[in-house]
Amino acid sequence: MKRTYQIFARRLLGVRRERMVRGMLLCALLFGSLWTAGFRVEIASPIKGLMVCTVTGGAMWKALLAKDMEEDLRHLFSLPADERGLAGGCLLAIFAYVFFLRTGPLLAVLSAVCPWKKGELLLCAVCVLPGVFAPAGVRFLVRKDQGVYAFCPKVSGTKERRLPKSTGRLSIQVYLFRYLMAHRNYLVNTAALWGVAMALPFFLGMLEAKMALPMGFALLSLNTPLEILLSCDPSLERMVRLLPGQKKAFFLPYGMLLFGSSFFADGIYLVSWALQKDGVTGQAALLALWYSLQTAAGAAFLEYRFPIRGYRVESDLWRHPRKYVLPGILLLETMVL
Amino acid sequence: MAEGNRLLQIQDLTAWYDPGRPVLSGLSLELGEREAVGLIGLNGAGKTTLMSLLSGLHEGFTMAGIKAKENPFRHKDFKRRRYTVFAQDNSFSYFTFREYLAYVFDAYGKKAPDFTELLEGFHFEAYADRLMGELSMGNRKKAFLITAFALKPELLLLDEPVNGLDFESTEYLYELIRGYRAYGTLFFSSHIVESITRTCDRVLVLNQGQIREFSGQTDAEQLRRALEQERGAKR
Repeated sequence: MKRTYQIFARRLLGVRRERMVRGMLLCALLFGSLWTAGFRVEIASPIKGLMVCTVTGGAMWKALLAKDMEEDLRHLFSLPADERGLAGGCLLAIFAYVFFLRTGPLLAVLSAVCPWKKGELLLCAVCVLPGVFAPAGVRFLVRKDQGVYAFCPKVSGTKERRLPKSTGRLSIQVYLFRYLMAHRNYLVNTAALWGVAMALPFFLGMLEAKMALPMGFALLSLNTPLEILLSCDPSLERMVRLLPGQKKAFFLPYGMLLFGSSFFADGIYLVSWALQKDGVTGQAALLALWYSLQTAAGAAFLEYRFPIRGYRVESDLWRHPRKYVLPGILLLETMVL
Repeated sequence: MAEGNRLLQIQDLTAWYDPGRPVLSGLSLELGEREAVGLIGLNGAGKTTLMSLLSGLHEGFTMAGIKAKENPFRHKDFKRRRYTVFAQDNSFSYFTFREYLAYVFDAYGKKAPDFTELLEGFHFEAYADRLMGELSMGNRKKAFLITAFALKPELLLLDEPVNGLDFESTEYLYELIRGYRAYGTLFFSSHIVESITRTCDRVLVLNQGQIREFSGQTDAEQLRRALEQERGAKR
């Protein structure tokens, strides 16, 4: 178990645990900056517990299901070693990763903005446990006949899909559509962003429209999975760089997809704002168009010039700091203009 | 090699992943027009690095005659003359083979020819309309090889093309490599000595970032001895 833990910890936290140290520094930074800013909010104890449980559980589930983890687990379970020890070591390493890089920052934020009452820390500590064990527990329940091998991803053949015989010419839009259909989590994430767009007027409603609208558009430029589509697929990225003419053949349709998604989100935000604030002007619609164009061009440019490489696990890709660059620039633009 | 017959010349190439530890060091090579050149070397010798570099995908390198930050292997004109089949490739998983081939031909501004013979030669007819992501590793390799030999670029790069192929497809591939001189230059890497000796005009042995050249008439035994010598020198 100890050896398995070390193998996975090295993978998830870095050879010298440097990512763990970075996680702790991030926690310190978050706490220090929020505490100094004096931002305070009341959060009920059960809500705190639920947040901790949900974040921990979500991160554990994502880490367990990550494709790169699947391969490691498959190899691991083919070894003639104590299966419970293997599973335990792996789970412990994933928990360490989740705690230092996911739950820890949340706890730092909660500590800064809503000082702990008596018993709340203990409550949160207890709430971490279902977050840790529930994902693995669900896997066991679903495949309980397999004992500890339920922990190992199921190896199944791919469903054969025979598509109609085509002449061949197909635009990259159709490719991207099929890609998204095969990665439902991208669609779920994008739909969640549209949900946020609908709710944004509640949070920005106290500001004037000329500030709130561009600020909202800037925040909605944070659509992580669509904006890292190429970074998520290194083979595709390699071929797109190899083949000639891909700025037009690939990046233009990709940019159009990003524009469509962004403009839809901005449109939802505008409609939601209009319903709450008695309408919007044509100028606001043009502003939405402008921000959507910038989002699309900016995200496509970042994927073209600065693709994310060398990540260890898939979830790190989704949380790479590069995702804040575009919203940061657009927020700055909002402040300046 | 006479300049008129020279397709590509590389002089004093040094390439690295980590600046302090070059993988290729002071390497020079020439590729002539319409020839098949094989590249062989031990694991970790730098074959794939060289292939990536020629494909415009490797960034850490210097070469005689080019400025810093300049990458001649990314120029539009060079891209249009070159196609690479990688050792492992999971790209375009959501295209069928026919769709992928059409996309590539569009990218090169060419009209796709009749490639029925290639489909039959690689026994790939049953897979042409399946999504690339659903194919086995070997069938994927066939898909990219068929695309390459249908495209017939001026410079065709193959990185370990034999890996994953069944016996019949391997023999067919050797036939295609031997016949490629009629269309262009083929440069391929392999760790299987026979794949080189049965097909190539020239053989380059890569070791410790340097190249040693042998003629295509060199037999497998001579090459094996050369590789053993290189391995002994490395120790």
